[in-house]
Amino acid sequence: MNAQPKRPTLRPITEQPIGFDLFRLPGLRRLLRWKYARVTLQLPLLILAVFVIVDGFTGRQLAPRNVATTSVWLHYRGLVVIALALFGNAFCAACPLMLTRGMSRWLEKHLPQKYAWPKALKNKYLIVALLGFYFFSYEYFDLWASPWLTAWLAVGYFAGALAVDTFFPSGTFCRYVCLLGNFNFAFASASPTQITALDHHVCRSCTHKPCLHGRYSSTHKPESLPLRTNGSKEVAFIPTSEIVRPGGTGYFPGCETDLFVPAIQSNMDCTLCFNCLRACPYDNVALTLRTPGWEWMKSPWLKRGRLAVMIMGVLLTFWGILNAAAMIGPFFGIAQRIAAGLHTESEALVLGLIFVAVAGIGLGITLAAASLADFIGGAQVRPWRAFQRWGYVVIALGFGFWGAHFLFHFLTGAVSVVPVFQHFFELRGLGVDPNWQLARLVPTRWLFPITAGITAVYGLLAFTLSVRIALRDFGQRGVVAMWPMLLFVLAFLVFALLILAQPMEMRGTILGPSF
Amino acid sequence: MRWILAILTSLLLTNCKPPGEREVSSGSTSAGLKPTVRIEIDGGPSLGLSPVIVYLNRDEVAIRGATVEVRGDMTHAGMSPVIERATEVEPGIYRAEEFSFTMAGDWFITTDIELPEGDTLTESLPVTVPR
Ligand code: SF4
Ligand code: SF4
Repeated sequence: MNAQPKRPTLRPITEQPIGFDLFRLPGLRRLLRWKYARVTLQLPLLILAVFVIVDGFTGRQLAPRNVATTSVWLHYRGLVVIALALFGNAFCAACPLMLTRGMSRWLEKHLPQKYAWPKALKNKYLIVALLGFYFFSYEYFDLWASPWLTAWLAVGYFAGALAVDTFFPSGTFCRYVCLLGNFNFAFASASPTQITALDHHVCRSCTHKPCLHGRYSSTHKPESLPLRTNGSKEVAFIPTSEIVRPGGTGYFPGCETDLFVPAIQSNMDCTLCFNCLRACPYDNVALTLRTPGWEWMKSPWLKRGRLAVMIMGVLLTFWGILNAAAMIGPFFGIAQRIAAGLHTESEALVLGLIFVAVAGIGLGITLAAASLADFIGGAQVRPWRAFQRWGYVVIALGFGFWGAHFLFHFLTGAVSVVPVFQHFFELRGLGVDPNWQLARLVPTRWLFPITAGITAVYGLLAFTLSVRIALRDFGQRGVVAMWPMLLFVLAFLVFALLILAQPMEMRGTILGPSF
Repeated sequence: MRWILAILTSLLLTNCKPPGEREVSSGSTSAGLKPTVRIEIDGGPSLGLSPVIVYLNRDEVAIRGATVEVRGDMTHAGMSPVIERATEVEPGIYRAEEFSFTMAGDWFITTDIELPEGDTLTESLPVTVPR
């Protein structure tokens, strides 16, 4: 096998973006092919998680003075969207939850067998349900205001990852249960990078496909080989002498979320764990730069995840609007009017109704606009098919809005990380005097132009995407078919800007008084 | 990894209830009976200037000469706190004249008090600032 894979010479297995391979940056490929690269990436977030849990449980229960609430609701969320927009799914790459693997492997030994994840749950509908519950809980229990609950949330995540990956194949938690991961998967569709194969010809002649199934490498074949991470069968043995840049010996797992490198067209389910890079014996995996949102034009979710993935993405967008709207005055007015109309004082009921209504309205107007566009384009109207064609437009808008919202908080308080950590040590007896004046990253008057600018940029992308999908699928008729979606984008932008322009009001309960 | 889990588990076992913060009254006094602290917002909480008045007495006797710092925190992380030193305007009555709410929503007013004999005391009051 050629030690230096070349650019494709034959037709590729799947059309993939062709751009600069980030692994060509000096030292990066060698570093990431190292067996312990991922653990190294995970350690900083593991240390942060320990701070979150310790301060959340034992620190002062005031959100702005606690590491748990500040780092989770301010820094983590802000940095997640910045990373997704500028790089890719960096936070899954550095996710400390996967460090429970050692323990789950130990626990596994006491189980009679690994169980298969139920077929009925091999989709994103469970995620949709969990997302609804999570967003509801976020508002109802004021997670953002409670260090104690935030710490429990972190513990719950570790426990969930441990439990799911003990009983079920590795990767099940990431793909079918993890809400953070699936938020990242959906919006990494906007990212400017993607895992690709350098040379599809090499992949064609690669017998064992270790990027998917994993490999075991050493100088001599051992008597027994490990099973794949999903427990299905033995991994292939490939002697170290055949490996380009070996990066160590032993077991190199393949893709735990079942992605096959030369067939990847979407970042959906890619945790950027770089297992594929380490497992590929021919060093044929690239992290390719692409146009942000490149995959939106390729309709990749038709092949992976289908309708459930699109429903998840669209609901993330509309619940994202609700999540931001719940911080402005008019929202409280509406909630109070609903409560008065129903003669109820139950916040759970009112919030529950609002969540269901927003989900219904979001799916309804997306379906209506998409179906109308298909109808004008001359296609046989099948609403859910139309939904899957045009849904990417909504995802683009959704990412812009989440980005604007999370960045608003991040810019408002990013520097508060300094006094909050100073306070952590002050509380524990170290003579540190926190400087509480440190908070803002930019002057307040810049916040609206920045957040409105981000919303507008992704609005423009959604606009362009509508035009391109229309022309791709309906030819000349696309010129008129695009209009329902263009109007949708316009209406969304107006609504989003209206929300961003409102003065923020942080309230614990929607039916007041708050305490 | 295992020792981290062990530490965290023991933390969890002692944390089935959140440590109190709301209506906190903590501190230590060497002079016996604990002082009473009452926090009021002159004219009620409203956006902008809202002077905070702190009444401090022990067994109905005003405590003079204390150092009182008033601090306002929003319930959301990342918001700059408002910190003002209160001055004694009458025996046992301390006023943070320049205290100002910068945003509508839920706030915690915390007073950090140092009594003349050196003891410290903290009292909190949750308030909602209307639009
Ligand atoms: S292991 Fe490498 S060469 Fe083989 S299919 Fe995967 S990416 Fe291609
Ligand atoms: S192994 Fe799978 S999840 Fe990990 S980086 Fe490669 S494609 Fe993505």
